[in-house]
Amino acid sequence: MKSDLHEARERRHQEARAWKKRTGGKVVGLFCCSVPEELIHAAAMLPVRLLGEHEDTTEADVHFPVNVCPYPKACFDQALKGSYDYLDGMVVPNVCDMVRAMFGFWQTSSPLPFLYFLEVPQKISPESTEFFTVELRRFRGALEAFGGEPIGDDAIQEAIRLCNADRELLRKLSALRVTAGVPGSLVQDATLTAMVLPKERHLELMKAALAESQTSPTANGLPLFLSASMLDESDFVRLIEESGGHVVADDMPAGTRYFQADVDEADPDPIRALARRYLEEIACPRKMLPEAHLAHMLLLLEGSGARGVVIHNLRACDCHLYEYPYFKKELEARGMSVLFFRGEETATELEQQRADIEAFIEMIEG
Amino acid sequence: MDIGSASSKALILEKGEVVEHAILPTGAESASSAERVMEMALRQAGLELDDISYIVSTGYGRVIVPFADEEITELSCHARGAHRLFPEARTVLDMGGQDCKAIRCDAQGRLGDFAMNDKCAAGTGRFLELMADVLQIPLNEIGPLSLEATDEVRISNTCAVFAKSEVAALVRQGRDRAEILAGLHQAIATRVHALLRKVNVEPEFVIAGGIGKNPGVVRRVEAKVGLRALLPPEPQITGALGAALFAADRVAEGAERRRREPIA
Amino acid sequence: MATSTSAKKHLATTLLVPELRRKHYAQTVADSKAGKKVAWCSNNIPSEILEAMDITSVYLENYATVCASKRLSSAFCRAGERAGFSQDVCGYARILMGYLLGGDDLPEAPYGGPAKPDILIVNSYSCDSRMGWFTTMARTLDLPLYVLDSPYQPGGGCTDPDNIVYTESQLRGLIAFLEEYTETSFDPTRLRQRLELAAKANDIQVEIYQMRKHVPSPMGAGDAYTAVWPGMYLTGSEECDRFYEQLRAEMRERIENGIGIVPEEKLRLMWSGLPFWYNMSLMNYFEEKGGVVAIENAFFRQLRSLPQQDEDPVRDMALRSTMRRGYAGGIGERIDLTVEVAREYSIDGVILSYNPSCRLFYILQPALKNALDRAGIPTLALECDMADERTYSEGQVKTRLDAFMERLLARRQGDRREIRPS
Repeated sequence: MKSDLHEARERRHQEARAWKKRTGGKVVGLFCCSVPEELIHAAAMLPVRLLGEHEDTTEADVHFPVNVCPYPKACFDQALKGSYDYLDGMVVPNVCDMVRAMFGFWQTSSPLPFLYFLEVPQKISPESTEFFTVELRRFRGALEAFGGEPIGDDAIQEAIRLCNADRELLRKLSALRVTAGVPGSLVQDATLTAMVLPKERHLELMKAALAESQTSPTANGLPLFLSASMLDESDFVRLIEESGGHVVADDMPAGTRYFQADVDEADPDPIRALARRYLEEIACPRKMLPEAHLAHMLLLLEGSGARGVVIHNLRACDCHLYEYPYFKKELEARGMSVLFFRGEETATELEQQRADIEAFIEMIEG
Repeated sequence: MDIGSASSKALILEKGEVVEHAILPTGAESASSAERVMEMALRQAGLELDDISYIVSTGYGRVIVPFADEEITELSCHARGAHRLFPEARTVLDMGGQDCKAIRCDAQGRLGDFAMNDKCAAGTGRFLELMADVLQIPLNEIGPLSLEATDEVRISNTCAVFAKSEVAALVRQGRDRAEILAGLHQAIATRVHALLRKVNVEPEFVIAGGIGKNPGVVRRVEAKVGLRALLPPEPQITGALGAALFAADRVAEGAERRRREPIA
Repeated sequence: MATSTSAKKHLATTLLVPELRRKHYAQTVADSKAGKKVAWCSNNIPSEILEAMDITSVYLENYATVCASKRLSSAFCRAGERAGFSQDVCGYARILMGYLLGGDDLPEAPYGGPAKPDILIVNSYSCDSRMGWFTTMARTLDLPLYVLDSPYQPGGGCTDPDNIVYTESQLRGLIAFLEEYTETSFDPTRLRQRLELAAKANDIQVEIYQMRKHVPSPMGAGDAYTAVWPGMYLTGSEECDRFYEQLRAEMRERIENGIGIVPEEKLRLMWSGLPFWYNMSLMNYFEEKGGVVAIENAFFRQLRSLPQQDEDPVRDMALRSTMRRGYAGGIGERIDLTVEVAREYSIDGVILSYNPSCRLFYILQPALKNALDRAGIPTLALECDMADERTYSEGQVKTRLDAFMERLLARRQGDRREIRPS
């Protein structure tokens, strides 16, 4: 049974259009956990994380070769098909090769009144945080120019509080996976909708979901940990559930990585607080070195009760593919079986993955 | 001469008209099948090798035809041959035994942009043969049968290696064969369409090669491209026809023969 | 061992490079034995700084191309894959990781293997792959790694002071790292000297690229991919400057005397993307039909060095590299540059090299094709890896090259009867 949160993700385009109509505000699309949505909220705009559809990327295929990460390609495909024609602007961060290439592709094929390249540093260090702080001030300036309104520190502090509140509820729901058998697919849908809905609306849905979780039937599959490069829908987690598994903890962008850390509300400089959280507290393998990333993942694994690890990497995702042999070895050395998938975001790959997941679960249980 | 990996063709042109043609399976030895198919065509025409003023070879095995005067790629030859049959042709899809080519040509039949899929079986005769075999249905019936299905099983693997086991599994599950075929043909059409998009399809659109005889593929490709396909009555000799036309050009220019050896 | 398939060289100066390269690699090994510190570097790590601190640099991507050119890629890539690295990842990385992690059944590595490193240095802004690759090596070898970061600047150069400050902090961080881990000290005077020599070599190379617009082409890609080597790996040395002075002189002579690569130049081609290092003879493939690969876009230099921006050489480097982005840039800029080069160099057709494991170049090939189509310039797509020779199929590649030649010759001469036998 699919939840309200799942439905909200399916209806995200309608929701965004409705919000625009209701408020007269601007919608700004973005990629990646590295973009501080708080600044966009503070500008009274709606930040919307781009998500793809798992269908033939007939339009994007004209512009892209085959062996590239399918996630941004699928998003670009949706843009070309018109699904995102309500966007007023886009923010493309400096993260991986494919995502940052989106800046050029959007410029040439899908021009928008506001297209901003966010210079996220590709390294975690004090100088990098300092640079990112400056860059976020520049970003604020650009949003002010685009919106025609100043963005005061107060507005940013308020947005930080709101987003922290939402993250707190997500963390609560996430923890219930371990303690109360809340399905992993629900947590993922909750996260995906957090990335595309107006905050107030999402907070409502979260409160309802938390209340409902007290009485919902619990998941009772084999507890598993999911590490993914990017899953823009919850079908894969649901597949694990249908196959006898239960994703109790995860390390992925549309998951724990999105809500684990808060922005420091006590910092009198909200921009600096954002820079710190968004650069230093996100376990993005493009910036965080593998040893640090593994340590982070092991912390999440510990205490989750997971008995196996599923690693789902999208094809051609260099950042995750290099980590994989190291993570596999370290996890297996700690008694964790590892199941690896190379994802392509096609409509039909899920069925092929089912048998492997079932066999993996049987092997661990047996 | 068009020496493909699946079949070899010889075509004789006299005063610009096709006099004779012959087709044989290539088998293991390209050189000897080239000789045999040439002999066959000569015999049918009542001619000797020496009577032929100029021989152009094309296809996969073009470089090993010992009695050829020149080699020209099948890309140019298909463009030329299709254009000769249909002067309004501007896009040619050749679906051969082992590869698949999307070819543009201009108003004079000159080769323009092209794209090839020779790395995998999708869109080739070999793939369909394999599927016909798994389904235990004669090759010439799979196309029509695929059109009878009212529904379609979605096939996820267009890679022949995996598709075979996927199809076998579907058969075991008792799925309707017509629906499986519909799904397979649709998967082929999708891949072929992706290839065609690389060269910007323009009418008239010609489908050459053996698979042109399969209405299941033809109709679905037409639907995707949005154009009616012109089908040569003899779809396998388009390349050899183009080669012969180039040979005729050489004779008109006064080119000298350069063949290395006669037929053994 | 399989035969070498290097490009035939038409210039005398380029024939000097193999020996320069062999000597260079031998020197790195000798340096290591003599107790000098060795750094394994990714491309674009400024060797000028290392040289100013008496540290020997080994550029691994180049080493991988040497392995590929000596037909060792299959064995090393396979070993890299056995160690768990996907076929999707960079061919250069798989080669080196195969070398490091592979077993006893590996063939002998060129020059006896790269000199043993003491430290690793990678730049993070060029591509994702380098980071994964270098962090893996650092862990495997248990050596310190410095990550040199920089703003990406998709629009090209800028004068933003914050970008400059960050870039400078990274360079100073590199120097501090080097001082800590190699117990050498940084000499700004030596850096200044090397920067001046490097600037001069850059300017001569820019001139040489301009000279290649000449018809008939005095130097094609067959020579150029080799001639580019000193500028990338001996930069900042007298030897490098002398090489390019000599090359320029030879180019001038060829132009004055109308000496081209072929007796009658019928077609001018461009190679876009990386070449197939295991088969550089493809650059000469068209020559018997009067075709030349007149220009390539991979290491193209068209910007002369900026004048000195600051007394302090490190700050100067930061200023100049922020103001001028010679390498890569945003997708749109790279596409525009390629189309512009195709026009300026009177190119009849562009070969698009789709290297599936080099995301940096691979991503933009279809978009490049679309742009060239709009500009009315014919293109040919070749899908082979730049380093992993298992992706190369002779028959398939040659059919495409032959067909492309047929197409271009027919178009050039405007009449199908002009496709002449060779």
